[in-house]
Amino acid sequence: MGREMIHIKDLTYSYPRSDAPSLRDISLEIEEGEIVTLMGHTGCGKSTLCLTLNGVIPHALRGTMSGSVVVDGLDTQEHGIPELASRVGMLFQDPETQLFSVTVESEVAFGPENLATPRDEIVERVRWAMKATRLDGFEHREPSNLSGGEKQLVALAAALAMRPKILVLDEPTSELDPAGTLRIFSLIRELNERYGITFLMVEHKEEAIKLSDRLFLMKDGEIICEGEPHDVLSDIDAVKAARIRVPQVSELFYRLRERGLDIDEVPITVEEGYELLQGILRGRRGV
Amino acid sequence: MSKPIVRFKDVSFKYERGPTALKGISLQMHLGEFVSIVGQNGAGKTTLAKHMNGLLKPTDGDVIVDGMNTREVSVADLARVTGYVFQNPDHQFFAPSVEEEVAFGPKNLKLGEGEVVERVDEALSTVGLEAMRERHPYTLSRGQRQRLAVASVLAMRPKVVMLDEPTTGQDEVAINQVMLLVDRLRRGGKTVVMITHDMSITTKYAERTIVMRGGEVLLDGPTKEVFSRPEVLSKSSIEVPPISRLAQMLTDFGIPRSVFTVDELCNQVLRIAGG
Repeated sequence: MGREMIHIKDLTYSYPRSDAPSLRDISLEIEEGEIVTLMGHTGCGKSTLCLTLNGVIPHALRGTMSGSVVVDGLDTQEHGIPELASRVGMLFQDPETQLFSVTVESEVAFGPENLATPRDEIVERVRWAMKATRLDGFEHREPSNLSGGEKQLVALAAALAMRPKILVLDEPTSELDPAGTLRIFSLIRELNERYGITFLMVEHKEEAIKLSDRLFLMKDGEIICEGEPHDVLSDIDAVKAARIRVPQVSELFYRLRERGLDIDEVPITVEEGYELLQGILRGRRGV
Repeated sequence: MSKPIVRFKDVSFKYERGPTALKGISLQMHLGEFVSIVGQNGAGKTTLAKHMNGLLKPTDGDVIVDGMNTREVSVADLARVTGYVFQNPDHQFFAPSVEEEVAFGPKNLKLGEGEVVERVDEALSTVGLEAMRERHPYTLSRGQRQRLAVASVLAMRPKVVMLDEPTTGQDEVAINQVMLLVDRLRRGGKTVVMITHDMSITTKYAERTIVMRGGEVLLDGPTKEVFSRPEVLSKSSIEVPPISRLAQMLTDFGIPRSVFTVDELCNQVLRIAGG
């Protein structure tokens, strides 16, 4: 196993002028090269937790924070946003809100330029980020004329140009069509395998669950369940509490269990469901 | 059957200096129907929807909405009949409070103050946001903002409500609320048209599905019949929802091919296995 990339300990956080904490006593560790997905109902604190990882909380959004967040060895309370930005890249759900340049190339170069990176290196990083996201050829296009899926790739390339070790993706596909969604997920897998980038995403789609090493379920600012996806999705009480939409195949097995069938493991994919149902149907047929 | 509220008569549309986005579309919609329009990006779904509120006029053919030919009336007149809720509600809000956001449309119709208040109350109560009237739209949750967008449209008392991707970025509870709302509108006699990529939602809730591909209607009919033809659907790169794929793999065990929801498959499995 790799080394620790994210270490959160006893984190509690309240937004300015808010009485109730948005994050309550959160502790978690994520190792280098892991892909983890954070799931939970709207308003459960997923996005707030994301903002603690690049220092936006507590540096830009002050509020009240206790406990600690350590990212790639840096305590976010002791290191500022610029320093953290070169380690943790962020991507949000609406690509419209994060693009502003006239060309794709200048958009992608913006981050490293701001860190006063030498020119040769900027060129090199931009080229690499464009290639990694399959955007080569788009250098001189205007971001505003791209499709939603392409815009999200540009935002991802801009984050990559900072050469982050961690990418935090907050609902990166929720505004995208199925083709755009698949492109993002296959890129996540590739960036993880080729460059060892650690991923923390907020996602609810089946493809994201399949991609993940671990899931974290959140409810009202707390983590209520964590582990390997099959184990987490087998914990129906936690799933119900987190109010998440689970894959249809998993939902089928919840119903079957509620209706009295003996189900230990909840499948996620159609293929897994088929395996288990074959056993159930074959076992009972003609008996 | 009643007179159709929306009628496309051999409608084609070509964007200026662009591709032909609709090719010979003929279809009808009736009051009280819940219709899902599916298809890849670029299939013509949004172009079709924009013909229903007159934002686009056909290059050929006619679109008749509530007896009006869209060529002959203004977008403002059509806005009283057809409401459009955008995919991302954040792109449409501008007023400082929920109440003012909803009141904006009716005020533009130059209605009296009493009528405006009545419509705002009615719309907010239909979507369940009465308690939020003083709040700033951006302080609402994503699900609440979606319902606010619907309320703004309902305040125009339209007969047809179009929802563009109403379930994206929403959790299970919010999705159920949107679908309950759709059901309430439909039972109240409105036509609800949903544009979506979500086949699970379509098969679970919509009675009728229109599949578009390359500007044409590939399939149009009761949702169950449409999704019983995976070979045609795949031409439009539409995947049957996972639960139907699973059911279709199990036909050897006596599971019918026409299973489209989790509940149906659950019942079928129990029928065979449970005894």
